[in-house]
Amino acid sequence: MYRDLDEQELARLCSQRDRLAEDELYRRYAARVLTLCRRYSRDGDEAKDLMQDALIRALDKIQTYKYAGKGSLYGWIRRIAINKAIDQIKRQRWRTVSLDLSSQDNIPEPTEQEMEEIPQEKLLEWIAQLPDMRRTVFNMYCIDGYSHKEIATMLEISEKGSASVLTKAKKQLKERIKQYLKEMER
Amino acid sequence: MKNWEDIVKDKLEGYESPLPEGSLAEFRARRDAAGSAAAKRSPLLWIVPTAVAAGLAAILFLRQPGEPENGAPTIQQPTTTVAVVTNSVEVVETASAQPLIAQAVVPKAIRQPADQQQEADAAIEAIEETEAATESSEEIGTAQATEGVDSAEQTVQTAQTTQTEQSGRTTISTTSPFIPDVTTSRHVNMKVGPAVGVVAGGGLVAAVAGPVLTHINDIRLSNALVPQGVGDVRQAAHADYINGDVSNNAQSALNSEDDTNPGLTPGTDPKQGTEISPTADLPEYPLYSGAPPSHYFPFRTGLSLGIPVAERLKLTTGFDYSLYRSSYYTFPKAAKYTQRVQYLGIPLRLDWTLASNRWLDVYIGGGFEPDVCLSATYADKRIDGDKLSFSLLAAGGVQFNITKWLGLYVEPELSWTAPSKNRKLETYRTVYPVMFSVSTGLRFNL
Repeated sequence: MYRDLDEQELARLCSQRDRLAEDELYRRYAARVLTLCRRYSRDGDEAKDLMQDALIRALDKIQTYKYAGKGSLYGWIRRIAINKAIDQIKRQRWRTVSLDLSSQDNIPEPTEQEMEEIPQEKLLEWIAQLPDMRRTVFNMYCIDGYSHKEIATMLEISEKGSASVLTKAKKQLKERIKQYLKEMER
Repeated sequence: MKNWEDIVKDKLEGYESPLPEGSLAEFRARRDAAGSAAAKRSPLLWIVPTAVAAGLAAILFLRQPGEPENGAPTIQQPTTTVAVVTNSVEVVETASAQPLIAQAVVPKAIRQPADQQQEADAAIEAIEETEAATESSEEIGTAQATEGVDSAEQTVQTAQTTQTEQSGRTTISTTSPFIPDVTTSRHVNMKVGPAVGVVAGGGLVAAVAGPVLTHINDIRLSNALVPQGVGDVRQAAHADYINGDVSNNAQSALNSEDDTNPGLTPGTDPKQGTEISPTADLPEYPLYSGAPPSHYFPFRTGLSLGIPVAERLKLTTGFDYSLYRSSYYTFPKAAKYTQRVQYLGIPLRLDWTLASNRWLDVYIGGGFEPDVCLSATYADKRIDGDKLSFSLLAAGGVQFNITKWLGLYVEPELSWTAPSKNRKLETYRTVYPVMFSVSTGLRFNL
């Protein structure tokens, strides 16, 4: 019965503290939210905790959700998860000065075909290996669609700083991708 | 043609990570726990840590002076009793009516031989026993105990007289059995002294807290009657006086600091019938020889700055101004002399954040604080201050982050003032090298 519910009805039942509806919400979105949390977290356990926290937070605030078409419930949950992830990163942020002096990017961009060969799990692994700030800015800008201005506000850094961090993150990821592709050729 | 970042986005956006086994059950458990916690959650809970810390500060602040050290009882010295005394014989006779008070008016200072001390101690016990007996005898209407008091006090008088004969000096300086022998060598005092401080980002908090924090903590010292740093000559003179060498040189040195203090008039012996008046004829005791000094709660204020070093590590520094006041009373002439010593310290502490969220940080830390003496005065005259010295600090605290840059904190702190030759003035913190304080204020966070 609950599997057939549309987003609006599911949200309404969740707001009435219907335990079965809450379980259904978990079944529908937990896997995607976990992917998002893995992108923002350093390790799997942290990502799992973050995912559960985000979903519990979403259930706490479900009364504030307003249906805005198909897919809006996931979009709303995703925003909660991203905010939670950013809060966590800000709390844990290490203020370190990067000593990465080489700013020139001579690594060729991977082609579309090359990119298709790379499994999602590998991409998630490499993103997770990025330093906190690089990982966060890359996720926010390249995947979640935030602008540098929004990133600067949310992470309490400058816009230039955000752009600079993104460049470094991209460079580091490209290196990993190229390295992986080389290993695959052998 | 898509660039590689867009492909990453496409590949990951719709990707569903495999959920760990049992994750739904874990989610249910956490959801139920969060639900029950949310039901109990109240904004007042945020106030609890502050209230606990404030309560702790209040307890320390309002704490009455306890039993003096060594367990010796403190006996008040009412002026009315002094007025009754005309000579040492009467002191003893008056004691039959109010034995404790009569004994207490003897100001004490001189070290006495061990056998006399034992004799006096035995007399004290006898008086205490007979006092108890007197109370009971009043109830049953008998007067037997009074004889016991008389005999006990005769014993005390004998001890005092013996002392007088041996020293050949005024008998008024004999040792009171109710005041511990304070002339023994200074012992290391590791008792933790309470203090309250304010380290504020703004002047307002300091201005409000200042008058409150100057509340006296009347600490009875069991050691040095003579504070250091007032002049070696004067100290030597005082030591001579204590040791019975009341020569002219010592006398003049004792009187040199303060013209209002006429100094000791040696040779007044009540046994020879010389009448002693509490205001005129009693020998004027040199400065410090009266009641033990009172050290007031130190007043602290300053600026505090938190500089993040790493994820959970923060360097806390700033400026720490502290004022230490001490009062010395002369007896029987009611004169009060105040010592004021001001220090400026720069605390350097590393704090480790135990828990943190948007509003609250809980942390512990340790470090040290070098401080310099800004000024030192005694009786409004400048004296030599301490040189550079150090304290070790250990603190824990709760900080409420009002804004990103500003936090209100409550911070219990334990500090140990390292013994140093540079620290020669006697203040609250030399008496209590280990000091517990509770600071509160605003901290700027970088």
